[in-house]
Amino acid sequence: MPPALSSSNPGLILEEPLIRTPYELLRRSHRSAQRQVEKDFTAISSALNALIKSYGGKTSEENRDTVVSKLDQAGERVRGLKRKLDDLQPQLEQPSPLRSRLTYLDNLSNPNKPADPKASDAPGDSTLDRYIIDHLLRSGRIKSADTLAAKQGLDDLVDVRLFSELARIESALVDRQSVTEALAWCGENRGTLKKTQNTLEFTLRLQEFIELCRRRDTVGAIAYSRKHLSTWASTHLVEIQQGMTLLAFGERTGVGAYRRMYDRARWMSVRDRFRKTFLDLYALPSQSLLALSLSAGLSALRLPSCVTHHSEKAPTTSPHIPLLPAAPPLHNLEDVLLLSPHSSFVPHLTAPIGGDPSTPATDLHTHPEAQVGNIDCPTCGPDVKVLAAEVPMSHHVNSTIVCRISGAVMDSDNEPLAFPNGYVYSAKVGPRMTA
Amino acid sequence: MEISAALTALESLASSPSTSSSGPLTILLDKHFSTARQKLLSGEDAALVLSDLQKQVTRAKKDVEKGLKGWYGALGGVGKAVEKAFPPNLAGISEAYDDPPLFVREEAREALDRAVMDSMARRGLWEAVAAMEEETGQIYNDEKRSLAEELGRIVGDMENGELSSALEWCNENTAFLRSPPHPSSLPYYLHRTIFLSLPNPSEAMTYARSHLLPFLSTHPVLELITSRLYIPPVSASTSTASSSSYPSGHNPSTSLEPPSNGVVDVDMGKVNPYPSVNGENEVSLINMFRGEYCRRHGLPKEDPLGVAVDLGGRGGALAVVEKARRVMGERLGNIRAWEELPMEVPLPASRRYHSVFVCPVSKEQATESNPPKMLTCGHVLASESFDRLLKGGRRSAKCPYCPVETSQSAAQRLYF
Ligand SMILES: [Zn+2]
Ligand SMILES: [Zn+2]
Repeated sequence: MPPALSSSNPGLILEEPLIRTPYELLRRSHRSAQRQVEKDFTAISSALNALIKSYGGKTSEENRDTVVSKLDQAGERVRGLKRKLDDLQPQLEQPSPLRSRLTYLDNLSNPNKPADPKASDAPGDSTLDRYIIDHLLRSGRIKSADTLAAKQGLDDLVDVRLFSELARIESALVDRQSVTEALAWCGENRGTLKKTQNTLEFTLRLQEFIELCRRRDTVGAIAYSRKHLSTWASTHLVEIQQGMTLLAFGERTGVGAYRRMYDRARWMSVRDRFRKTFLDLYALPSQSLLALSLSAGLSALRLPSCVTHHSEKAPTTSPHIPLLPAAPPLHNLEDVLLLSPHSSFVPHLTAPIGGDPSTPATDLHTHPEAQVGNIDCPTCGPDVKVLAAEVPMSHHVNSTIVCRISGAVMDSDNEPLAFPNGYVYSAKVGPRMTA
Repeated sequence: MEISAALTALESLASSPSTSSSGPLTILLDKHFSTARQKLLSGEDAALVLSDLQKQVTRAKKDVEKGLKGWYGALGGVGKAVEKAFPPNLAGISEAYDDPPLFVREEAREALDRAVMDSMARRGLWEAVAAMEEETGQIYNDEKRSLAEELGRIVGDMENGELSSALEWCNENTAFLRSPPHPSSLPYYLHRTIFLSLPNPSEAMTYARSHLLPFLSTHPVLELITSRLYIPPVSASTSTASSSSYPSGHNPSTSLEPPSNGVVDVDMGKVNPYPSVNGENEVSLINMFRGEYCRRHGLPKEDPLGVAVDLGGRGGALAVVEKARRVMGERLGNIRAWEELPMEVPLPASRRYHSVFVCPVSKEQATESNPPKMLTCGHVLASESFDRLLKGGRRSAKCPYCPVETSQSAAQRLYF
């Protein structure tokens, strides 16, 4: 059972990683701080011990300067450690990403809260841009993401650095077929990976072993397996045994099972494993926030009457479907209906859009059954309809009749009127139609 | 609520001296290292001085570790608040859409990239569009680019209180703006704004004569001119004050071209670009212009990507879907295979783009194969529901909502 959908505001459901990711980064920064302290203090102590050993007994004029300069070097190391610790831990005077994001969300969910004068230059509702950046980062378009973030002042609210690291390691896996970078990342996060019983490291090691076999470096492969695979024997014995048979079969083997292990496409699945582990570790969802919000938003809008997208593969002759222009503000409409001097005109629903004259085939008066999209409807748009094709239709329990001339939702103040051809207009348009 | 709690916890973490791990290092450096240095320079025994310092180093390490531990403990407090504000839900939600993942077919990926570029172009973010062209290999459509640039330039002018480029556009598109079924009031409101801004009454009257009188038959021009005799002109300073309340989508920096001196032969000075064009509908002149410009060029008046993303996230659609998934559980199967959402996502009137007819009898949405039919009495049913009323070969049926009979041939298909 998943935890209750908390968050007093259900509209913030997608903001979970905005907060959890920097929190996870802070937690991890504690581990690296501990490691750093251990490392630097060991170095400082041994430097001092060495000094005592070499110069302790005989401090002469000439070696005094050497001692002092060695002491200064140790002092520099202390200073370096201090800087590193200050960087890792948020200070009151220097804002951390977690704080900027909490403040941002706090303002977003209480728009009436008196503005903090210090945060006057804080970005407004930049949700769309943040989601676009998340999408760009996940698809490896780091420069586009970075440019948009810089232009919109969103550096603190997006994880460019984190995703750059992901892109760097993934590119090493896929483009250079190198596991070194990924293994280094596993090393930095060994504790967490162990706790979650993640076996990414085995996947990487086995792949490296396969590459040794591909090169027919049998001696190197055996040594590698002793050093790096045998430790996984208790959990991955079958895979290790399978791998060991590659020592006997080269890349061109006729045995399907082994040829599959040599398949270069295996690197793609190694990349997928790495990505999943990486995203999980930093509390990031498997798909982009843009895709998730779009999917829900599009399915809330998508209707059978929307222009449908026919997949390029399907050999259908998709008819050209005219899109009606945007519904105008009502005051325009009233100009037409009540004040227009051209009292004899009958509005044509496919009246020129950008100069395109209506043709008998698209004129709705003669062909009311013709399918017509709405140019303002996102799911009718030429690109977005391609996306809408893969989400469910919306569900409705009540009718809503939108006048195709005025764009107004009809109700008891503006009732629908049916015309002899079966076309339905709103009452505010209707009288004019019969004139 | 929970967010503020997390923020408070984080602030106490950052400000508490007991959680400072670098503090002991400052003492070690400023006190012990510098003392040792002085002692060495003054010729004291190095062995003694250095082993003294070594002791201080060991102590400092203990203090640093204590600080780290305290910091980590305090971070746990932040974690509890974060957990409460954002329990880990999204991983599970996202996973539900993984089979197959969203928008990964090549055709969909490219369409999404184009939609993203459109969204950036609408807002004049050309550096980002250029970076995307470079990284996706897709070239942004030239025609769309010049339209977005022109719109951005004119809106930029309007934001600076400069209406001449907007008026010039109206003059170039007179036929379109006058054509039925939606003749536009935009030119009238542009001239009206300029008229109201002219400080000199006689100048204003001259302007009205040549630019407002043509609208006499369609707009309350006489009332406007009369009112001008009693109220002071709209001062220029109000335009700068109001501009901050508008979205900064169209950055004036994109409007580098000088405003062209077109049709208006009067020095307009600065005018308030955001008048309320009528009492009930606070439509800004800029939005009105944007609407007409988009209509003229067959562009959606709002960014489709922005509308859908807003509805999905902040608008709560994803939360509604997730609730349905939880309530109805496994029975609904893979979310990626759903044909229709299991429950309704409430939509504001502004997000209603098409008519929806739900049969009051069957509760099904009308489709092309099951279209709405109007009975003689005016009540409307889905075609299949009407056919069911005609069972047993009857030629007419009684309306389920009133006593009127409708013959099979009299039922009229409707088009909404
Ligand atoms: Zn549609
Ligand atoms: Zn009836």
